[in-house]
Amino acid sequence: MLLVPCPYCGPMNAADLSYNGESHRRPDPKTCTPEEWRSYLYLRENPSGWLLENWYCSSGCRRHFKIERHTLTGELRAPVLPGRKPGATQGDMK
Amino acid sequence: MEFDIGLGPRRAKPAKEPWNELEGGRVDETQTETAARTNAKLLGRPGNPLRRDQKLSSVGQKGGAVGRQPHPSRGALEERETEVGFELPDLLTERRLGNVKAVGGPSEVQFLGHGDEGIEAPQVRQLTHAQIISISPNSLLHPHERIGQTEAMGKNKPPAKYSAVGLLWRGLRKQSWPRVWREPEFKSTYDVVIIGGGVHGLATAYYLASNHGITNVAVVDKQYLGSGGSGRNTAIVRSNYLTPEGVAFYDRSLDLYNSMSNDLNLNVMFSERGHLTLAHTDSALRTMNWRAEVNKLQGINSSVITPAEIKKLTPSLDVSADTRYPILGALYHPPGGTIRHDAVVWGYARGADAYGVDLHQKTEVLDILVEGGSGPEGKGPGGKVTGVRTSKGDIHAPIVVNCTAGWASQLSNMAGVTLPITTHPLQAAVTEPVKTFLPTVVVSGSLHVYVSQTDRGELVFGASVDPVATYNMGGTLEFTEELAGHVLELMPGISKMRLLRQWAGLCDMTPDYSPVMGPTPVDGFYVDVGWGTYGFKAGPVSGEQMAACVANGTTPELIKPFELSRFTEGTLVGEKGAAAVGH
Ligand SMILES: Cc1cc2nc3c(=O)[nH]c(=O)nc-3n(C[C@H](O)[C@H](O)[C@H](O)COP(=O)(O)OP(=O)(O)OC[C@H]3O[C@@H](n4cnc5c(N)ncnc54)[C@H](O)[C@@H]3O)c2cc1C
Ligand SMILES: [Zn+2]
Repeated sequence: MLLVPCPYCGPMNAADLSYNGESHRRPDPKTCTPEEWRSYLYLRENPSGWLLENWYCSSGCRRHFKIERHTLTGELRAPVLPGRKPGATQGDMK
Repeated sequence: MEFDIGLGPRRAKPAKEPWNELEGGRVDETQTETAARTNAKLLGRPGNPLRRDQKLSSVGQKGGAVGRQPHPSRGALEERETEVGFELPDLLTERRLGNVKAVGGPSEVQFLGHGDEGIEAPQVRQLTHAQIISISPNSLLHPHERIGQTEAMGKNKPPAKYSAVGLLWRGLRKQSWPRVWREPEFKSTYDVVIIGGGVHGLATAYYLASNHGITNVAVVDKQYLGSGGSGRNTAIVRSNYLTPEGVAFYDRSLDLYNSMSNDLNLNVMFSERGHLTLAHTDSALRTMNWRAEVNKLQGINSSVITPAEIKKLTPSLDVSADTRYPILGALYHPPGGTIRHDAVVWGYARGADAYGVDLHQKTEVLDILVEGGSGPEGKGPGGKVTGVRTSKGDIHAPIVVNCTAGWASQLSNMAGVTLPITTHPLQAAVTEPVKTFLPTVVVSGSLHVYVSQTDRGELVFGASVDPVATYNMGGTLEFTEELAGHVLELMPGISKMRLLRQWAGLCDMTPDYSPVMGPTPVDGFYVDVGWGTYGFKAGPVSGEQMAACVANGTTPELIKPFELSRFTEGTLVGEKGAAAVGH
């Protein structure tokens, strides 16, 4: 079982959250080429190591957050709220 | 940056958490098989299949995952086991079961025995494109054309035949068996380097040698041959996919599997027992009908059958109307079945080795050497591959093929090529053996489970991939709980059976549930990846087509729909409806 700390609800069983995969910036649909858009849709780094990911607290507070997770060891770092950068201090989270 | 987020100090190392240990948690990569002898009885009613207080003491214990598959930590040493162990017992089992058909006509006799005493006339081979071209001056040639020069025809020799006489001879004289494949010396130059010693890499090597005469080929694997998905899968083969492209492709694979025991002179125990995909909802039934029609148009034996017909085929299934998810019908595909996956891996390895292909086990690729690309360090689009850096040294090669399934993204990233792939574990489990009662392969998409019975009598279960991407192959208790509940909904009669082992393998999932095959934006760098949970059945045809692709430098029609460029062109081949659980 993977325990994922929701910034609002605290540790949650990963099975109770929706996993939305690798987090990366969405290109501007008005200006990007179809190729850029499709790369954003489909291509993934998929590293074996630390990865910033999107999660949705579907059976809890129903909010979105990001968190860095190690894809081999399962270790987790602090969750990140929308609009914040990873690596923020705990004070920032509140 | 790491800091305490109020979960207590122990959170930093989840692997050591008590619940992780208890539930065979994701511990580390070397613990590839959980092999959890949970002794978990599939007790109780659906929904409450496993009690927490059941004996879990040995969860996490290491051991063989699949059949006699050796543990990865023992690695290549286990080759000896492959040499001696598998043939005789298999044959005896076949005999005991009276399953002569599976042994396969004339090949049964050849299959007996072992050794290099059989002498085979070298096969006469037509000159290939590569060899004809190789007459012209070296420097003018494209890498595709340069390959096959050095040792093109030199070592073309199919493997020595196994024979009944050979077995008897060795048995009577108590002779030991020779190694099935060589342990080659490390060379610094090859025409083609194939990364990944699973069924895809080995089949590609085999067909490069046998169909195209290209034998100066290395297959490198960081562990032992078959240590990836190829030695962990549940061995189901079928061709009743959803898209015409998918159907044509997988059907060719079934053809090759049909003649494989003869072609490779090794019994792969193909059991063509029929494949049932159950429908529990109206929409599932609609998809089944759709699939049946697509299949029939392409001459595939596939039809939708009623619950009464299902009951006749597979009496142990509960087809009554008062289950939670009543069975409304099924897609029936008689040519589907199971094949012994280890034998397929060993057969291709033995065949390729006999043609002179070098199989380097315990050789990890650390980097892919690329020149002239547009990305950092000269990698990426527009570049040209020059070789690979391995844990044993550099290998120079104009062509590198990535056949690393679950690790495919890592290897492609080394060349500066980003893939549309995420890596998820797929878990499977096996029960103690009982008398045969389940004649078909049964798949239920709605219940996320599939089951078949081996010739030894064990029930083999699988499910859909774990939802969270990870490279960790530990097993979870959630999986066994869910599995037991769902299996009992289908077959309430097996509630007293005990689970023996559970294990996991890595699956390279693509957005459209179809593979990624052929050239990439880096010249000379090819991929045969994105095999997800369905790549075992595709091994032979992938090898055959990738070999043609590499040898001729053009993508064959059969795999054109699966090129990497489909993701930038927006021409996906949606197979989710037929592959999400079905394997
Ligand atoms: C539990 C389970 C059940 C399945 N059931 C079915 C089924 O019923 N039917 C079906 O068709 N498919 C099934 N599959 C899928 C199938 O097993 C795979 O798609 C298939 O085996 C992939 O074969 P491969 O040769 O491409 O890769 P693999 O067999 O995974 O081989 C990849 C190899 O690459 C090597 N490697 C990785 N990184 C490196 C490196 N850096 N350097 C060198 N070598 C490296 C690994 O050691 C490994 O041996 C199942 C998979 C699993 C996990
Ligand atoms: Zn929450």
